[in-house]
Amino acid sequence: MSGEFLNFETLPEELIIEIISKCSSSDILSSSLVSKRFNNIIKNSSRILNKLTIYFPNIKHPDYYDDIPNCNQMKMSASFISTKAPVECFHSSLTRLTICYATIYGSCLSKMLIYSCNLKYLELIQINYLKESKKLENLPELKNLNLILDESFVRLLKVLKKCEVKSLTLKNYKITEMDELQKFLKNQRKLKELNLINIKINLFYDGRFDKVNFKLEKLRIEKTKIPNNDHFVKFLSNHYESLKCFEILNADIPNFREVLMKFKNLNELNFKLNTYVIDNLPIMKNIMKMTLNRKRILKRWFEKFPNVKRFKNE
Amino acid sequence: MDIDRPSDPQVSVVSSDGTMFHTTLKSILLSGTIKDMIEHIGEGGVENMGAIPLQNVDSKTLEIVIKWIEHHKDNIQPTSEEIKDKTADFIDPWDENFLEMDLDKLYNLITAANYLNIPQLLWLSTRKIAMLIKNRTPQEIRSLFNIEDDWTPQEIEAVQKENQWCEEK
Repeated sequence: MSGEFLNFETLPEELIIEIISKCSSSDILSSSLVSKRFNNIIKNSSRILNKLTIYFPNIKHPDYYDDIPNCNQMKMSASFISTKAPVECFHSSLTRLTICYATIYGSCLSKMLIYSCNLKYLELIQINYLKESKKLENLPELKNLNLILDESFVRLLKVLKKCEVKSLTLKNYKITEMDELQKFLKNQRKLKELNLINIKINLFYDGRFDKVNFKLEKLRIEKTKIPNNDHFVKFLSNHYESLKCFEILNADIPNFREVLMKFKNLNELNFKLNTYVIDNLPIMKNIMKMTLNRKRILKRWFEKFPNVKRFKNE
Repeated sequence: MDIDRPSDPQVSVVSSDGTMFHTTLKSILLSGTIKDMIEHIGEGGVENMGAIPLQNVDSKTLEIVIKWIEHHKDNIQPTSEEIKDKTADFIDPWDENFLEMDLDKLYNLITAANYLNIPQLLWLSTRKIAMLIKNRTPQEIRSLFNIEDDWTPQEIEAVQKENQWCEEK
């Protein structure tokens, strides 16, 4: 550094990202026009691109629609998305759409989804208010969708009932009303991945999820309380054959050991248990032998070892 | 901590151009890089440890960094993860005043904060540049930071078109 001439342009890429990621959406756009190097850095940094906000109600000229670039990620935040938003500008190239902290019209959301027919990731977080939700009947049948929802949208799950969801992530959910979720899951036969993150209510309180129509390959339970009753085990029994990956992070699974033994094809286990005591290593070793790809599991097992509170030697 | 041992022992660091600076252990531990180094040799080794060579930081910059860490040595420092996506926040007027320096010094400070791994200082100094960009046109940014315009008119038109969809009007 000493004696070397430093310039904003010649700073290392990571530091330019550090600076530009602190700019507002409009300042990021200005920076992207400064030089080719800046433009390249900005276009290739998801950390910066995530800061970009699309202001639909402000794009008024229909001429613009043709010019929407083939970007595959869009994030709309803190927006009021009105019925007049030029939803036609949603391209079929769009694969990831995030709408958060927004107030949105139902008809507008349905149009957006019709245009972005190849959507693979849909994240709806902190939707303040969904107006005219009755007009959402015409939603397209999106296939292979990865859906990420929080409490603000779970109540409206019915509008997405025609979509074929591959992966469902529910976060920050504490409403006790579970009928919508139950109805939604009933139609999902292709669901392969379920992530439950910070769910405050007890999903397995009654028997409503004892029998499900999908076979999970991946299940992740994070910061979520699992009751010590039969219903959770019954839910799991649907996936004894199919489950390949099980992640339990800061959550406790009752009868963890017994539960684990039932899975026939599990080859990835990732866990960080709150309080569960594993006191019998030989049994665990047997489980590994029986059901798991040993090398992989052993590695993960020992990586997670410090989280096991008590451990009895062989 | 022993009673007969000073609670905050002296530590010396040497800049890339050979100037020695004295500061205290508590201050220098704000640097994640040096903290790792000291943890490696163990606490007992601190007093017998010689001056720490910092080959990537020149004396002018090191002086500025030491001024900052000495002022903040008793403050709880956020980790780089905690601070990563922090947005507008209250800025300590002392820091605001401290960052009043010419751009050359600021670039050196940013690189030093990055090398020494002082997340809060890196955040403050990069934010300072981000504030300078604020509400400026691309041409204004170029002249402020002395950046060469390497676009052809055709290229710039194409990029502007790409940007239209997320411009705030």
